[in-house]
Amino acid sequence: MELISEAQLPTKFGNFTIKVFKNPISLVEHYVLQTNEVGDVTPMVRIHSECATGDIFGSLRCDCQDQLHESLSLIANNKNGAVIYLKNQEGRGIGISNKIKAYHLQEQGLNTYEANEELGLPLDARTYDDAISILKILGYRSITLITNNPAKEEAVKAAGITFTTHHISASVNAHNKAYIDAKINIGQHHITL
Amino acid sequence: MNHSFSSIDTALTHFTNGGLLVVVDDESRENEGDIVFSAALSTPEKVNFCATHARGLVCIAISKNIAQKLDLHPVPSNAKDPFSTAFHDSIDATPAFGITTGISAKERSITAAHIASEASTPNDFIKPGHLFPVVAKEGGVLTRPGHTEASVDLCLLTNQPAAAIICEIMDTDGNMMRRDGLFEFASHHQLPIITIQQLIDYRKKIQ
Repeated sequence: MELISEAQLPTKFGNFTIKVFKNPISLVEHYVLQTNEVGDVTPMVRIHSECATGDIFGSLRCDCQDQLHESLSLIANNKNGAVIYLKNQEGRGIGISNKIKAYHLQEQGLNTYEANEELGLPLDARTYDDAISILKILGYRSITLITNNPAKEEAVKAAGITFTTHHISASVNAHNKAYIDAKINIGQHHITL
Repeated sequence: MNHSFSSIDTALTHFTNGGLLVVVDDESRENEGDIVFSAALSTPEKVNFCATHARGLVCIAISKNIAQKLDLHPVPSNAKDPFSTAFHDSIDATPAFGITTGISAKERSITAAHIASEASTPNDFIKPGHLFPVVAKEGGVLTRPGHTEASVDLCLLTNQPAAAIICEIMDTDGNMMRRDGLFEFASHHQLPIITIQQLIDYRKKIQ
């Protein structure tokens, strides 16, 4: 993993440094928004999987943008930490075109996991190797991990990074209720509603 | 699992940028997948990826022109290889380029880049060495549908020197990785995966 470029990025959540890391093998470029201040507090980290429909357009089919924004606020207020924004993770790793195909199936009543199954795609194709490499480059050995996803906890644990988990609440609406239910029941996410 | 191959356009763009591809031949031929990337854009990380994750023999597919320019000769053959892989003299770059033993990922990457370099001459290399040149048939995949030809064709289609690192992908149990495993491998490492048949079709289309 190579640090390609970095610069200041003031946001409405607080001031960050944005760093672009490139995986030299896959050539995928991930973004990191890191706090400028580094206090004595334990860094808070969000490993966020890219979701164009949610993060950019504010889709109500998922809760990705809420999670991203809440994470940015938490990290800015904590004055120590980073959001690791993983590119190429669209639709739990199946890609944007397959994700939209799955949405079409969901319009016919399937949940996200069932839709992937129907398309013959993995339920969750994400790997967190790149995120772990970035965490190590950032020098984070002990963190507060902002997630409800046990697979992310597992990845951090396997890397030997000590952590406590900060769960974030989900905002349920009429469009994402089935999505959130499936996350809880099939994905085993720890979600408090 | 419903796997699909990447488009040729995606693969060519990735290859042009120095990215790694998974290239598979026909299931009735060797039925193997190789990592392929441009030798001119080689880095120690990429060679190390081959040794660590692909775990086959790290070779360099080159055109006949490069083999002649660098005075590389075919390894004596007893003509019993069913696929007639065109192994040539193994080589390392000389110590003048920072080579010590020649085997480290860094040193094999240096050797690869020098093989691809237009400025290189036979005097820049020692034989035998730790990188194994395999020479593509003229006409590329339209003559022989092998990984060697596919790799050199990828270089020519992307206007790069006709030299590519290739390495067969072995499964963790030591057997060769087959289709399902190769799809998972490509997905896990986020690499485009294409067939040699796709390259043949593409070349026929653009001719």
